[in-house]
Amino acid sequence: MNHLPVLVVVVPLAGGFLISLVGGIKPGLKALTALIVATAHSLTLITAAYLSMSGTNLLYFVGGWPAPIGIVLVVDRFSAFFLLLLAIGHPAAVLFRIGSDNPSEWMGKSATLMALFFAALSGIVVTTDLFNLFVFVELATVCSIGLIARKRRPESAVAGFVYLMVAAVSGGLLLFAVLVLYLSTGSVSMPLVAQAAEGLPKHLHATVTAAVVVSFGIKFGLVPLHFWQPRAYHAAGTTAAGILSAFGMKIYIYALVRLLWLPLQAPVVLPGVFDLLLAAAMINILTGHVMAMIERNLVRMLAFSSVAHVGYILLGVAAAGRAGSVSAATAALVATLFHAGMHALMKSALLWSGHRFVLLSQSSRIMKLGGMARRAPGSIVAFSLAALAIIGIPPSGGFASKWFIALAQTSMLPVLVIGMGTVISLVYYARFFLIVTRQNTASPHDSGYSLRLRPHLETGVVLVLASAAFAAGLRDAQLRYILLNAAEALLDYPEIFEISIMGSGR
Amino acid sequence: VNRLFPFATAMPEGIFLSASLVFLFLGVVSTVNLSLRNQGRYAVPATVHVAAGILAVLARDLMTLLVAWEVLTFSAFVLIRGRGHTRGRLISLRYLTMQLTAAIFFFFAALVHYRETGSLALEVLVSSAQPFMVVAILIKTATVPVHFWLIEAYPSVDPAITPLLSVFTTKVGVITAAQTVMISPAGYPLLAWIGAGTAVVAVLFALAQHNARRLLSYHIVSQVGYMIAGIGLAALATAPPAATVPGGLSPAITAGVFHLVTHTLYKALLLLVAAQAIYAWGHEDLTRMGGLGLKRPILLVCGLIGAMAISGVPFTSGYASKYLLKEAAGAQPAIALLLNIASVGTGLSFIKFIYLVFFNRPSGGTGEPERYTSMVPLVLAAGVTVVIGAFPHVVPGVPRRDFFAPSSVGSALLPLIASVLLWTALRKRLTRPGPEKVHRGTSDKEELPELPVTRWILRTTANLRLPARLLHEQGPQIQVLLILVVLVAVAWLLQAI
Repeated sequence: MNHLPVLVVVVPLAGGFLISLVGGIKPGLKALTALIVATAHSLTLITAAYLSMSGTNLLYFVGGWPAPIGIVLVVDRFSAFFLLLLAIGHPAAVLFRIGSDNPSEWMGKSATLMALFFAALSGIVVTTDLFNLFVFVELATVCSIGLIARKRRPESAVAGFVYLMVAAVSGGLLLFAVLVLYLSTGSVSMPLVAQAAEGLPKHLHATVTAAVVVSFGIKFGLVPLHFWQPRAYHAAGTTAAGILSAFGMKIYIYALVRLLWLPLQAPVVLPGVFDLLLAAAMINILTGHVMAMIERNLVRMLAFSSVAHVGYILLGVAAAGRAGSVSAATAALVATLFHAGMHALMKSALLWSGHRFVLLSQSSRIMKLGGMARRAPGSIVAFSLAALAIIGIPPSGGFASKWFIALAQTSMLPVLVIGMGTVISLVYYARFFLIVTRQNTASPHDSGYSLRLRPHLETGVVLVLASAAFAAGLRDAQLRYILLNAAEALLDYPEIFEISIMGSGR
Repeated sequence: VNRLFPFATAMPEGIFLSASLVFLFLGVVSTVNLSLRNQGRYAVPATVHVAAGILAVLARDLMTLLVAWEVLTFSAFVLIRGRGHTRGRLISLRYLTMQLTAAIFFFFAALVHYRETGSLALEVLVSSAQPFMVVAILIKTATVPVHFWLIEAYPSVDPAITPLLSVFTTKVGVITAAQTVMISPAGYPLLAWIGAGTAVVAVLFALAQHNARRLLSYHIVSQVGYMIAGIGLAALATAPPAATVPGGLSPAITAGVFHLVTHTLYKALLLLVAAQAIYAWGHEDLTRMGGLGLKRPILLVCGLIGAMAISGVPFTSGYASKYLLKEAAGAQPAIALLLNIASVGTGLSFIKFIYLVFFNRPSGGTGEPERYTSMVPLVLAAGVTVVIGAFPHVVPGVPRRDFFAPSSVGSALLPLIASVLLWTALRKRLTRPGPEKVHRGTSDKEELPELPVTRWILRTTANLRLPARLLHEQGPQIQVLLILVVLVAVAWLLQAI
């Protein structure tokens, strides 16, 4: 039996504690340990994803027990895509932190928290057990609260507390959904629940679906459940916000899609939820972009842009759920995954290249960032590339993903909303660009703040992320071929889950 | 799985080959001009701009064309932003917004077309995609009333950059329209009317200008209106059969693109002349220039060539392309009439231009003497304009016609005679100095006129900022309450659906 599905969780989980341990004995080695853990995690993720994409779906019975009793971990081609995202995210985040953070900040627990956060996200992706999913979601929540509040500023504490409260409600709702499903179907295994889903009373099914949608809607910022988000990202700072927005948010969307398709069988039993998601997606796009346009703070602006891009991804999800044919649903899902991947690259590149401007001027207010581009030329190049991609300028990856999402829509209204969002986002990114590249002869913020560390590593990471997001449009055919496999895996009859119940893999 | 960006290109044929050659020629000329004026720091965006313009003519699929549009837009954004003065930044932002709005409509059109045909090849779009493409083209070609981005941007940059900018953006819009647009709702040539109307209205605006480059910018709008009119006429069922011109194109489209070729040449020439006059005087107020005629003989000759060409004086390039346009408009006398009226205004405007720059009594100060090296780009552009004027058939794709038959020369002279008569009547009024001196290029002093829409957006968003901020600063109690309300609403909605 292949141990990879459990290793993708265990490696960073153990690694997180190892980082803490090494930090206690020899603080200087902490960064190196974090990097080694991230690399090891990334390698297990890539191997698992590669094996599953090349045809061997991975199945792991924890403790050797099959589904009704034991927890089964599965890596199919759909989850493999999200594992790949995490495989990019974890080492990139650690490398960026090594390049950008003060060595003194490595004294804290954030390296551990980051490893645990990625462990929890990997767990969400591979588990097929509803209660296990709830546990991993809660673990991710705890870690993200730590990341948000770690700066030890009053506003960080407030933001962390607000997030704690809404996340508690979110967790409660998920637990409620799991409990109701357990009581009515007698199982917390996703495939078993799926078999019973069509027999559930309609009002019960609708209530559970509502709880799930709202629970994950809070996590990824569905308007009007997004109020905690800009504040938390602002308090968390660019580094942590990049991790939460670029990678955490994608995994929560994955969880929603997985739950809607597999245990809840929503496309068959409750297609109405996708009409709701379609409307919510359009509201998200418009609210996010308009708020980003009137926002005066860089990190909050980018946070609102994330709210908008959740909308784009949900447009794809809704189109996939509403699609009349398998091929249309596949195309819509491919577009969704494409945009999710692109947004992970673009948003991390944007937030992390913005970090340098914020550091230089000691403020994240956009008006205070005037003329900072000259002092961080690599960062402005990365920011511009990522901004071009996220606005959707051809031939960037962001344009390609928007094109396919628009193509998957059945009516013209969402397409018009996408177009409107594009113009608004151009306005705020261009305005930021013009302010940052303004020529400032006097530099009022030369307060002798020492620019430490390894700016080349930091700039290198953001440049690689931004160029990847931009160049993805030129290689869209290959990418979509991979995504096609992932989408088919979600839509096809999930044979792998059949096996997970019968336990024939033992 | 097909690639979204195949970057399909092909060597253009016929009149489009001429357009690409003109783009290449003027790209080189205006880049040389930039280096002669020590604007070497714009070399990279300028070269990218030229390359994107040529790519737009070579593109064989919609996505490549869209890429060319965007590269043009962003390189122009860098050129217009200049050194980043407040005014330059505002203008470049507005330029960018308008161009991207056009690109979004292009996106819509391509999307609709692709959905119906499954192909992104560059061809006449399906009818449901036409309205989107028309809107994109109208913005891109700066037709009245969305011409403001051009009028703001072109005069505000360094005088050495304006000729370069004038070559590409609007013309690429025309090239796109020539290959994709064919619309005649209820049998009316919609674009022909819009184009002819723009030609007339923009000329009226141009007559009121004192600023050299603003005047020339309005004439870009007006002349591009001619081209749009030509393309609009091609949509008519009554248009003559396509077999009469090489390449199987409709004669009206050939005429429109030929006008693009001639106009781009003489407009770049005129802007180069204006740049020289601005350098000589240090400002660009036409009514305070003058007297350059004797000091700058080469400049005078170049200016006259440009002015005569744009006015359509027989044996000039503008005459030849307007000849073809009026021939194409034969079945639509109203449009031909509008174009003739625009010609009268154009002639009048350029008599004024030449008079004010070269022959008016200078009001203080003296223009600088001629530097021969800086005249090289002008002489090049003027030379090609003269050759095309004398031998229109040397241009690839131009159909064989008896361009200089006495009757056509006579009918072309009519508007010119009207212009001269009007000039004698209106000279005092047209050359009266403006209330204040027009300074050169980008300056922070000049207030940027705000559109009502912009003002409304600014006011609304300013009012919105505080409530939005407050809304997002709510404490956990309100947020949890909100979550519960949303939960109940979602659950209720899902049961109801």
